[in-house]
Amino acid sequence: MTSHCKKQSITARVHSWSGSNEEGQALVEFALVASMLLVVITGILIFGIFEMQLMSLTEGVNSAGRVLAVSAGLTLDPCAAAAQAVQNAAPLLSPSNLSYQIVLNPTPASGSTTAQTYSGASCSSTSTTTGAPGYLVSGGSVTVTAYAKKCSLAIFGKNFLPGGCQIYQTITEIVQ
Amino acid sequence: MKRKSEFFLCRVINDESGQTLIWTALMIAMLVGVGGLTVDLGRAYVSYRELQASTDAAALAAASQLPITTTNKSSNTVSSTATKYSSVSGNYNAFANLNTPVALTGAAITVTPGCVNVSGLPQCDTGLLANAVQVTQSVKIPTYFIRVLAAFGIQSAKSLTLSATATAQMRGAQRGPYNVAMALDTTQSMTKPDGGSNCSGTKIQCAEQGAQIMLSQLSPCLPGTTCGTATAGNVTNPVDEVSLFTFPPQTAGTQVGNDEGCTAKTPSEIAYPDSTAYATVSHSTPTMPPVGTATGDLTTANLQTLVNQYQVVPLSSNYRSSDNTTGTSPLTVASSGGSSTAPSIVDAVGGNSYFWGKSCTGMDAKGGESTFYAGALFVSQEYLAANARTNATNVLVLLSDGDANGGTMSAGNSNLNSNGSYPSAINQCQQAIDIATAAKAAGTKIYVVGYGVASGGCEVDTNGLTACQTLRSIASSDQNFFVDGSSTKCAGATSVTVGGVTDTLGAIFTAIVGDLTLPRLLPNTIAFTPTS
Repeated sequence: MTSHCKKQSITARVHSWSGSNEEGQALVEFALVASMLLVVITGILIFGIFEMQLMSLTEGVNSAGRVLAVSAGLTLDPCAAAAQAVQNAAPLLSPSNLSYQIVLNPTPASGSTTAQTYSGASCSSTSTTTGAPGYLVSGGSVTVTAYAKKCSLAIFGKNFLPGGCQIYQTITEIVQ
Repeated sequence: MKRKSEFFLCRVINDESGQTLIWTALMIAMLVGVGGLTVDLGRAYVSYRELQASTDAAALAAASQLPITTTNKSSNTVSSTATKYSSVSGNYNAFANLNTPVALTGAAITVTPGCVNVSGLPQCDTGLLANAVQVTQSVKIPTYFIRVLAAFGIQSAKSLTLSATATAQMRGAQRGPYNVAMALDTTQSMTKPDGGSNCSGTKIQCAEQGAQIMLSQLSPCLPGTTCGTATAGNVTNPVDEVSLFTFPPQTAGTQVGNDEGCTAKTPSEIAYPDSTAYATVSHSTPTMPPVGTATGDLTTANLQTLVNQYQVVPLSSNYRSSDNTTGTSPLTVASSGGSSTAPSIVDAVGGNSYFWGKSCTGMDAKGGESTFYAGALFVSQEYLAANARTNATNVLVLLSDGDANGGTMSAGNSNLNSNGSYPSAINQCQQAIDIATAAKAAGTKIYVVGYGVASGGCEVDTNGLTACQTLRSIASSDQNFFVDGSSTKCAGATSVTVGGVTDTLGAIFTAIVGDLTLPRLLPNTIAFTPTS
């Protein structure tokens, strides 16, 4: 298509704007709007990633809770079983950024007084009746909490989770 | 014409008035849409995932309280337990997202007990009202971006209603840890040919084959591992341990090797050892005496005396070499069991003779004494309470014709009570019920297999009990009470069909071992009939 209309280069428009000509105004307006749009778009992206991470963590914790719920007397290391289950169900989260806490309460009816808390990815025992596995008993409860650090919820330096970005998710299941 | 349109195009391109406004309006509209998708729907997905996770947890917790039977219909804790593990405010899984002030209306739960039909697992019948449970939770969460659509009349864009459903069945997952004590009838009548279609041998052989089914399906050691070497009958980390008792007592000290028959089999029965000198169980308020030294306690020495006589094999887990051994050799023992000094439970029930041609043909029913199973129940329960692992559920399996009628427990024996409280010469069926009541109160799950049960029975009971009524009362529930096809049809007994055969010992023991599993989740598409 042959064009017969007059075209203006961007430099020409900017140049003309330095005078009293209003022709370059739109570009400036666009630049202002675009920077705002960029913040919003980045925000959407960051929130999207954040929610993806939170969902992965929820999925992982759910899986770990389910595994421990049916592991009474069947595992020597409930912490490792939980950690493995979280990692298997949340492949998008780097294992090195994950940390875990499991709370085993053999008698949930009496509140948290009998609860045992274990942190870390291992609490192995040589027997199913001693150490951490000994507190994983039928009728008790197990609470699995997983933490993911280095999550992203910072938009152009503005962190929406002040105090260090760490997300966590938790679930409590009855021990079968 | 062409030139005119080109001119118009040039004008649109170069005319900049109002351009940014239009662009911005378009982009804002687009961004609200994209932002709505990521923020609102992303949040909704996370909330939904939390709701589903807590619904699954609630359904599994509810399933642990199943079954609902005619007995516990009004007192069952299915619904309250489901709520305890749900997202409803104040409970274990009350996620902040799913409750006010974040949510518009907090999580609400519906618990529906009902029936599913899964082969080989407990089925609903007139006594079993619910073997599964369906839990639904719903929550209304607000939206932040897409609520602008409300300005265009779409009021529903202001909120999203999420709903999650989970269905769980009371059995069917992997096997939990159990301490199983099997008490088998070895009275003279067990040497007779099987009166039904249980097996082609004598009654004791049929009973032992039933026990083999238990041993072939229980879990000797941790899932996915080989069991390794057994020490004193137990592998390093046993899951299900099994012990074997008989009545009348066949064993006394060194007699064990002779009874199970790997060497020359010369079993000798002994008189029922029960005596008020050991311990008693009151008929009016039945409780198991603790093992100790206080007045009324069963001393450790006395327990050992009783155990030596009633017990053939102590709690052991060397009945298979791995958790998942299958095929033609399901009963390979973990260590070199089967010597005359340390017989394995597999030898005692004849498993290795069937599968390996070894000379251990299983226990014989020597008999010589009449039936008195209250003593076997008493010793089994005391043994479990004193020796079993605390993190495993105690299980008692009683196989008998139910007709308790005396033997050396006769009147005039000064070692016995005369008031009908264990041990006593009178009311022998009632004594078994009393002990079973105390054992169940102590947390033991009792399965009863009626084998060759006749109508009537319990001649020495003064209150008109029948064998059927006694066996039914001993069992933890009607779902744990079975009678074989050669028995009279006992009221309350659960009929089982496995592999096309109904109420054979094989089907019954398969049902028992199938009942020793944990609850599991089912797909929501399964046919689910709510209990009315």
